[in-house]
Amino acid sequence: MALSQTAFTVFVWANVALVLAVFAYEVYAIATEYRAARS
Amino acid sequence: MVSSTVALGATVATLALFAALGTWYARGRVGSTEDFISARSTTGGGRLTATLVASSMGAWILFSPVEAAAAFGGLSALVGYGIGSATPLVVYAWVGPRIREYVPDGHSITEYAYARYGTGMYVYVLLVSVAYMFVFLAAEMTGITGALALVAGVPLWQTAAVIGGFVLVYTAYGGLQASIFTDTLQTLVLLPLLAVGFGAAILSLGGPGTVHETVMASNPSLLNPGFVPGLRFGAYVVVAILGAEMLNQAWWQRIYAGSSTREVRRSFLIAALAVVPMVVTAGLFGLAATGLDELVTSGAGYNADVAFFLVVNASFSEPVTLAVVLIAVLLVMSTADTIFNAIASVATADLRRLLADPDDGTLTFAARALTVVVALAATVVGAQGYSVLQIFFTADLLATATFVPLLYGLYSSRPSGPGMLVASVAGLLVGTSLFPPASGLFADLGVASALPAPSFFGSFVSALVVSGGLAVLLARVSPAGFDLDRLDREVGRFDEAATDGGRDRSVKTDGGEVRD
Repeated sequence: MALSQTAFTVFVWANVALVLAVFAYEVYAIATEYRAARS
Repeated sequence: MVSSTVALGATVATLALFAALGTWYARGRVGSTEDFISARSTTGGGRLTATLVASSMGAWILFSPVEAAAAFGGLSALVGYGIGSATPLVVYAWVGPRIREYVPDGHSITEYAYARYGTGMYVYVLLVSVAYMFVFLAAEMTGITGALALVAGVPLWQTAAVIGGFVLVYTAYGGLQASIFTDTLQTLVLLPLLAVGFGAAILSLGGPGTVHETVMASNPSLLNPGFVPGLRFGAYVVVAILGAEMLNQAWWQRIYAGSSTREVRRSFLIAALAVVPMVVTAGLFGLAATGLDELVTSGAGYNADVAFFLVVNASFSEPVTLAVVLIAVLLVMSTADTIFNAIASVATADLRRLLADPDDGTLTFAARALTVVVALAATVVGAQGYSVLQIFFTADLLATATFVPLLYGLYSSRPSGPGMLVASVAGLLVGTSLFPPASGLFADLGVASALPAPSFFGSFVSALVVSGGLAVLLARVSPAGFDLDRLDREVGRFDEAATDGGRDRSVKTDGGEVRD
């Protein structure tokens, strides 16, 4: 049975949100490392 | 359609910026061959994760997952692609620390193969590993040249020349250090660009609801998570990508580049989580393409392999199209610099043995010269517009039949070089007998009727099962016992003099700890 429209919409935006979440983590992790290296 | 001048201009500007940044970063940091090809213990978790993400996500995510979603597998194949991309990274999260423990001063997969199994397996692994990496690189170059030709009419040779040239500049100068630095920046640019670019794209197509309606009207099975052809495709993609990536030298380099074993494991696991939504997000374009009249999924005029760019051409404004072009260029750059340096590092590590303890200047020069050779070869191949998919499958099959016997030796003292070579070759032969591109050969030999129907699923799974099963069996009956601590003694750093020309490193000149 095919995925419903609502489930598909959630699936699409969840993937986009996950990509942004990975970006946020990367910024945080790299900034933390940079600060630690400077101090 | 974006004009070729604008597309090429944006590409050159992006390439020039990253080449300048990579070169700037590497200034004063590459003092030896060690620095050039290993960047040992220099990279913290954030940057390591970023370089893992950038290196694994090439322009292929704009082609293969999209094609699978559009033409034959739908959502289930797409999820399989995502899981397939993540699986090698998860496996490396455990294999990586093991490599660091037993071969702490190593550089390459072939060094390990030689020290653990001897010449036969070493030559085999060298051929398979370099063949896979070069095919990967050629596929990336072919993909981006085709994409820019389709979207903006840029001649193939122009795209190949500018990408090959600019990436060569900073990779030949800064080696792995420049590659990891630019990978980090590329990931930080790529992630929001992919999310926002895809979000804008899906909205310009009418939103997910409209895409859903379109797919339901054209082929509802593509949205069925239990669609059997999609699941089969997803399963063999997991095996194929796992096999191929386990022989990718780029990961071995990054295992050593990590600042600690803990960071290596953590970074590989986070990168595995990161690549799934990236692959799926790009692949969703394939579902969006099913509503296009231009999409041809079978017979003459088949074009599902460029479904991503059909959507781009049909639906997007010029700024969104340019953003897509930049995403593609960043994806190729991050993979190309990684593979340029990975192939050069394999050859450089082997040159040390072949040249009987050459000085560091000679090795660094050789590493840079090899980077130039790889870049030129990839540029020339990329400009030809070949179909590399079949070659890609062949390289994947070679690697799938090799990785279990190869890595088994890291965990057990019993596997022997000849035994593991036999297991690999047997797996390869069985896999080839079911490999669809080889079916004509078996028909010519008159044995096709005696074999099961060829399929990629059967081919890859049988190669894995036969090579792995035989490796375990032969190891059990092998009388040999290999002292795994020997790996540390036989594989050493380049900046550490060996006492006998490099064959046995049991005496170290830097006070390094010797296991026995």
